[in-house]
Amino acid sequence: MRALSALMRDWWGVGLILLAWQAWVVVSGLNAIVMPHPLDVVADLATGMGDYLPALGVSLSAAMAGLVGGFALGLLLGILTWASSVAAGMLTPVTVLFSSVPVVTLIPVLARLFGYGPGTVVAITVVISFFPAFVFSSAGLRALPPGSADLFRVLGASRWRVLVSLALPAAMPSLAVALRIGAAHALLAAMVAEYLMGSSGLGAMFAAAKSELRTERALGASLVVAGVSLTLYLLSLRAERWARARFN
Amino acid sequence: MTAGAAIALADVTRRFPLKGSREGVLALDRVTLDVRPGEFVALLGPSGCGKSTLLRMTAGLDAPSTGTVRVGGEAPAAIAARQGFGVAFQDHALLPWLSVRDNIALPYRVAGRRVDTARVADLIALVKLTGFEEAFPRALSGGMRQRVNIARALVLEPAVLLLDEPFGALDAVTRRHMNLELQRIWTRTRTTTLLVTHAVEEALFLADRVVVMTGRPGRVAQDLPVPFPRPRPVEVMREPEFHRLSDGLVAALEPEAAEP
Repeated sequence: MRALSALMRDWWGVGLILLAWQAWVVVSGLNAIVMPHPLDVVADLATGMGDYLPALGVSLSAAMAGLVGGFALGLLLGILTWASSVAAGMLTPVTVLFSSVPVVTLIPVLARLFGYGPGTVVAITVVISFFPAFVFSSAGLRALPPGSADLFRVLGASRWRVLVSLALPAAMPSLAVALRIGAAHALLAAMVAEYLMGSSGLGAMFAAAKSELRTERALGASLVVAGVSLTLYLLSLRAERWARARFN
Repeated sequence: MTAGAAIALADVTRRFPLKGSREGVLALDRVTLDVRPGEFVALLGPSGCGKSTLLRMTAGLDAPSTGTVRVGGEAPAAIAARQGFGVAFQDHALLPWLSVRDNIALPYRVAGRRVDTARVADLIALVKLTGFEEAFPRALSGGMRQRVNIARALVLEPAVLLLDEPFGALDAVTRRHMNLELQRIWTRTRTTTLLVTHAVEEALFLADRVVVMTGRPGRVAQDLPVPFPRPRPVEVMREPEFHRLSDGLVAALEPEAAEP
């Protein structure tokens, strides 16, 4: 009962939208190809799990590979800019420039490089996840507890020791923020890439359903992505709270 | 420079660059100061007199514009490289992700040495934090954090202990209590110590010698040996001699205010 009331409190907005959707479809009498009933979407989700789940598996693994790759790359370059001001001067403008380019315009370029397939989908999610990891790690590695940099210098700490024992732990809360931002967008980026290149995964499923006028399936694919993205976001929010409590 | 001095500052001048001024700000003007091995010297002075800069130079965190800084006859960087300094600054600089025990053991890890767990346990007992080994800094009071800071400064048995207002952020009661503790600890270790403070009573109570500095530019105004034998009970602070010396130091700090 308490769980139900908590559910009502947190999710009444979503419920309201679903109700309004159903009411609107019924009242306006739109064709199901233009706008299907929410119940049709739910029914397709329930009966089509055999199609949805493998597609989700493909998209999710591409998104996770891209997230891990982008995160590792961003952290690595963040450490490089921390270690060397020459590297910082070179990398920072380039990455800012790179991140200002809309990802959609990168897709054809990357597709030429990596082929029309899962490789490019991973590459796109790497690009999306890289930037927050880079920005937040460069900032976090410098957000040291007051006086700790002097302490390490007086103790004759090597650069490597400062990185491992001071800068990296101090950067953990920032890295957790980067992970939260990256996790929320990685699956969406993967889906957009799949949609535009029509290979496999939920994005391709969406594209195919759209061209076959199976609107309930297209919406179902979107709902699955939204739900899984939200779950990833909430999980990473937990990780972030933990990191804040532990490292601050 | 006295031969065999643990800390030898000779003719130290420090200028800081200042926008719109060609020669900059003169923070320290030809300061000469020797600290003997096993001696506790307090550097007493008003804010901005350059006493912290002097301490930072001794630690190798800053360099003089002219003059020399020698610690045990060597450059401070050489001492730092073999973990010869113990430092406690006003920012306790405890790492929030490490427990009390791990914060105190940190210098071992920085030095790449095996942690001497018995030594760490001894120090935790010495600063009276037994039972708080696994606590994190955020769970401790300001006074307890500074105890950890002092214990960490002592853990590698440093040749020289450098303290920069370690109790400056504490309330008066806790501060007095921490001074008693520091005196007790120091009487056991007798480590060569340079303490920077602007509190007259703290300097007199703790030090063998009080060096008074005046500001802008920083110069040594007075060098006062403290006559009270050790160990010093807290009652020392109520003796007429303590008050007489204390008044003299206050007058030395504020020459303008002392004039009628």
